[in-house]
Amino acid sequence: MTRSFRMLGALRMALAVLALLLAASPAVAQLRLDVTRGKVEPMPIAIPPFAGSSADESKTGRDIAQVVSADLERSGLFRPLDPQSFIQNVSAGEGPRFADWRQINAQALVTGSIQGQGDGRYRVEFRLWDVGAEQQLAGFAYTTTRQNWRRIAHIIADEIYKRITGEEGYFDTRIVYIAESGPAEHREKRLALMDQDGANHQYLTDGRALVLTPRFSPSAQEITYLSYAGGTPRVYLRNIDSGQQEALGDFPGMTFAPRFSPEGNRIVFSRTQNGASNIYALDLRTRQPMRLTDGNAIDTTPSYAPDSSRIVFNSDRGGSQQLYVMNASGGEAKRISFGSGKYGTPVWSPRGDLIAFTKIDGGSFYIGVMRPDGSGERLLTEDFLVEGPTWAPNGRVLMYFRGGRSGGGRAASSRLFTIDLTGSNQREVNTPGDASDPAWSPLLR
Amino acid sequence: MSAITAERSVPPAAATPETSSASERMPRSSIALSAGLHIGLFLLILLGLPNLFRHKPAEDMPIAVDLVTIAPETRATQLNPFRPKPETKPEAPIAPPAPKPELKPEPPVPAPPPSAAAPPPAPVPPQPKPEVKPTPPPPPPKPVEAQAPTPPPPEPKPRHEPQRVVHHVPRAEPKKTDPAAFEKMLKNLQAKKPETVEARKPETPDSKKPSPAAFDSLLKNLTREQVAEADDAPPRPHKLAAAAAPSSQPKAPLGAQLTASEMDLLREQLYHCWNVPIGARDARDLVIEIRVSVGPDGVAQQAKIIDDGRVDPIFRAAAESARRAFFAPECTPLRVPAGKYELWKDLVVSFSPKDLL
Repeated sequence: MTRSFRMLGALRMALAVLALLLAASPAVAQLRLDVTRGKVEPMPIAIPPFAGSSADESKTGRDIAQVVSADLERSGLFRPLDPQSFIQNVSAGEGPRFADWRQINAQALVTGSIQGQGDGRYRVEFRLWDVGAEQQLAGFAYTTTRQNWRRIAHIIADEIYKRITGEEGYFDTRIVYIAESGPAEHREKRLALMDQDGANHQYLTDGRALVLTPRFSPSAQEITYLSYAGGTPRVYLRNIDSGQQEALGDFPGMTFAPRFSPEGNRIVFSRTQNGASNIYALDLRTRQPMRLTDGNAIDTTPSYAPDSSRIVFNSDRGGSQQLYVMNASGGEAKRISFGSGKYGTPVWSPRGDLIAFTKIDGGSFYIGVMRPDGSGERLLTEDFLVEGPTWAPNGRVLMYFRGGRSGGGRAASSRLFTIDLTGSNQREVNTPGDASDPAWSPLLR
Repeated sequence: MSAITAERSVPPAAATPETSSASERMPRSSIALSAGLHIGLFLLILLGLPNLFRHKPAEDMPIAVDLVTIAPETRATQLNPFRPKPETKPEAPIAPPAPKPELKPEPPVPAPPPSAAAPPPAPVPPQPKPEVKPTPPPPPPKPVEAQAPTPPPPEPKPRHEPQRVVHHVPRAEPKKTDPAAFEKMLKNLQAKKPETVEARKPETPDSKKPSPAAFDSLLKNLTREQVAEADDAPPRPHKLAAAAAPSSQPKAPLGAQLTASEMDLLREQLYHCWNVPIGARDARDLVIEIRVSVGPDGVAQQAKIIDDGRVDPIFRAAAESARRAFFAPECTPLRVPAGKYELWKDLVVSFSPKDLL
């Protein structure tokens, strides 16, 4: 009996399947295709000058288009097309003729305009178009004073970057670094500040006191750094706009390697006492320091995870200089670097997925990244001296400095460079002179 | 041969320490052991090598057979060429509607040159609105759309055709001209700038008008789907009709499948058109499905992101990069077998960069 029931059940199932198949068969099966590879090339983008009704506006329109172009080009993800090849003159004020832009292989198009508002301000408007889909991807307008045109251009470049890549841009940002000049024995080191593309360069200190390792606060309004201003090396805090500077606490011994917490309410740094260096966190409201590591080793260059839960730092507690991760409140630290050579200057990525570091191995310096658990180590660049990585706010690009060899009383030259997380697109950052210890600000919004 | 010598040299070296230490206690057994090992190794080398050689031809065979069987089918279908028809047909519908309605929207446009760009495209409501809020730089961003409610009531009708004008005009040309020829043309354009600009203008009235008009119409429809339907609805009958006649013969013999080589050809082509967003976080795990409507001439008419509701900006950017693949010059037209229009007119392509990262 049970067997016959089973047979019946099976028969029913078979009939049902057959019925389903028959029902489906009249329609032609939809063709499905899997594409698991692609090309990695910069996207061709057309950025014609922004239209303006007066000569003055037109010039600003050209300038803005150039800065947007340069920003996007430097990212390595875009290839701005030569304006000479443009068929349509969108400056004439008409909507885009997509066929004309497809002709020159543009995949994206940026159109924009500038209008004087009568009160000395300008209204800058831009639109980003997908040429293939013939669709507007983004459109914004900004009203601002004329002298702000550069920032507007960076903000527009950020919007384009964000819409096309899905990630935040990093063009409306600034860099603080150590500008170096003079011979090796009297090397002058000054704090300098500039836009991410090298424009609007200014010196913040006069070079009388040696300064090192500047770092931005999350608001991008303050900088913490090491200065020899009072004779002994000490961590200082400086407001960019007011120029006001103060020493951070008055502890015996030397303090160095400062860095803000992601919320900006604490500064974590190293303090040397009796030959040992330990890590401290200082609450900026109460000015109370808290000791996070305890021992005779040299623990230094601490950096918070973006969620403030953990700190990565380097220590020679195991015999050689390696990277360790501990809770933000201190306690047991776990070693994460196990490759050959020494590791230093770890910096947690703003998006949390990676830690950048400097590595010294076999007489060469490297800039590399690894996951916070120490896995997936990748070395991005190698040279005689490369050091001091700092992340762009979107966690996709690193800046660092590269030094040459010194000799004959002449100091080694050093320059700033950026490199993409993929290890490609290495670019020099324009600075008036030698430069080291860069720090990338957050987005300036 | 080099492999053989390498294997021979290794085992004796490993065997010697054993034998030397053992020979002091039990000389006979160790000799026997050593002899046994040597014989075993010798046999292994002798028997193992021929196997290595045997495997390769056996693996290659089936692949070769596949290719042979597939090729004739694809050739057979190519006997019915579509190209003459699609090219002529789309052109016909283009002409009538374009001229009149679009001339009107233009006049209001020219007066304010900057805002002129604004009126036609402005109101893409879904995207700008959310974005406007987050960007609060010192100068307050304003949604472009807000201003541009200006123009045209007359556009709805021309919509469909203008869009196709835009599609067909450029794509017809690439077929005829090589990239090299195209570069030459570009150079000429640069050289004769003033002339070409003037020359274009008389021609472009047709194409100029359609694009802003078409865009306006796109914007009026709030969702992309609606736009898509509106676009497709009218052309389809024409194209299906165009396709129906020539495809009647080849459809039958092949059944409802594209051959593996035909799929590979298309896949290979798309590899060169998809610009992968590799730097994106978790890019490896991205899977994007695009539904594509392909015209009988192999040109993608519409590509729609499946699962478009996702708000994740990284997914959206990656999905748009995949959609762009179908409009890249290298993928217009798509390399699809001529006689199987019914099979590839509606494609679903799944993009994932897993083999790249």
